[in-house]
Amino acid sequence: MDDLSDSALLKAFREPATRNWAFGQILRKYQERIYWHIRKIVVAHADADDAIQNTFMSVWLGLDAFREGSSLYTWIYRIATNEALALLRRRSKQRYEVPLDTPDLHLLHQLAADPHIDGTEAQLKLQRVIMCLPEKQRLVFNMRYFDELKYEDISEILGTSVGALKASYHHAVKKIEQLMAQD
Amino acid sequence: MSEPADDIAPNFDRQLPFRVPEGYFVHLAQRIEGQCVAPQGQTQRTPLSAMLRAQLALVAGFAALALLASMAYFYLQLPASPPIEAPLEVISRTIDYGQQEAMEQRRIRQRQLDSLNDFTRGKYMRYARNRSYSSISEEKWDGQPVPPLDR
Repeated sequence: MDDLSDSALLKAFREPATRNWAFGQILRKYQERIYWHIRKIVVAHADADDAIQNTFMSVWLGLDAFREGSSLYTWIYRIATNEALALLRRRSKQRYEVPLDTPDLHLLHQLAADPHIDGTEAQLKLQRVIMCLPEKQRLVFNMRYFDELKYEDISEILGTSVGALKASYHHAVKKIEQLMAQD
Repeated sequence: MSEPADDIAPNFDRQLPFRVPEGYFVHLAQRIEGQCVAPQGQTQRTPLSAMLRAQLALVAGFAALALLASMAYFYLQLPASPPIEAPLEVISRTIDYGQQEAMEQRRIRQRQLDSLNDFTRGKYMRYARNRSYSSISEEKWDGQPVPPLDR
């Protein structure tokens, strides 16, 4: 059952008799990947939980209108990214008042306070350094480095050209290397 | 501008420091399904109220428009209010000279007011003429009367 293709699941979703079943399959197929994608953006587990529920609610409501011009998986990723960024903006209103390239204070606080965070010092340090990146670079780095998405897929998700994404990723890596070497 | 090389291979720890509660993903799927998906055998139907909401709003809009139009129509059709006749005032049964003179002055002023009324409001009269007299057969006023004299 798990290896059903997206197009087969979409076809099943459009049939009233198999609609609920198909949605359940899509949910189980993508929930973990989407959760970790959101979690890397919002950091706190509670926020990620909110955002993923909103994401799949939007998927449920919008799946009828989804046309297979793009892949289902990048479409869900795009919804999840928007939900996560919207939630983050609501949570950290002060982020626009701090100078560029300073760590996001809200995210730093979440990293320190969330009970569902426990990693090595190096892992935590990498996260702190990633939080110093501008939002676009942070997204691109997370999707490319941790999720290992192709640039073409990231381009579809973020609506940015592949060239610009490669430049963002390059700058992000250089900056992370530089900041990691500082301490 | 040359595109940055895509062969950049950083060597950071790929392990994330984030954890989730035990059994989180099992319950997550169930929770989301509980919020979105209708129970088996029951198709997701739009409630009747939701289906009729747009139509009801349209009908209510038309009803309000019709009510406003009818109110405007009846208001415009209302006849102009008739001039307020000042009632004859009985000052006293027995009239002395001073009272009589005062009444005369009042009559003069009232006549002036009436002529002003006639001038400003337009008093249309139809007379029935005879050889020795004429009588008013119809009288029509236009506009609001000048208020009667204060006592």
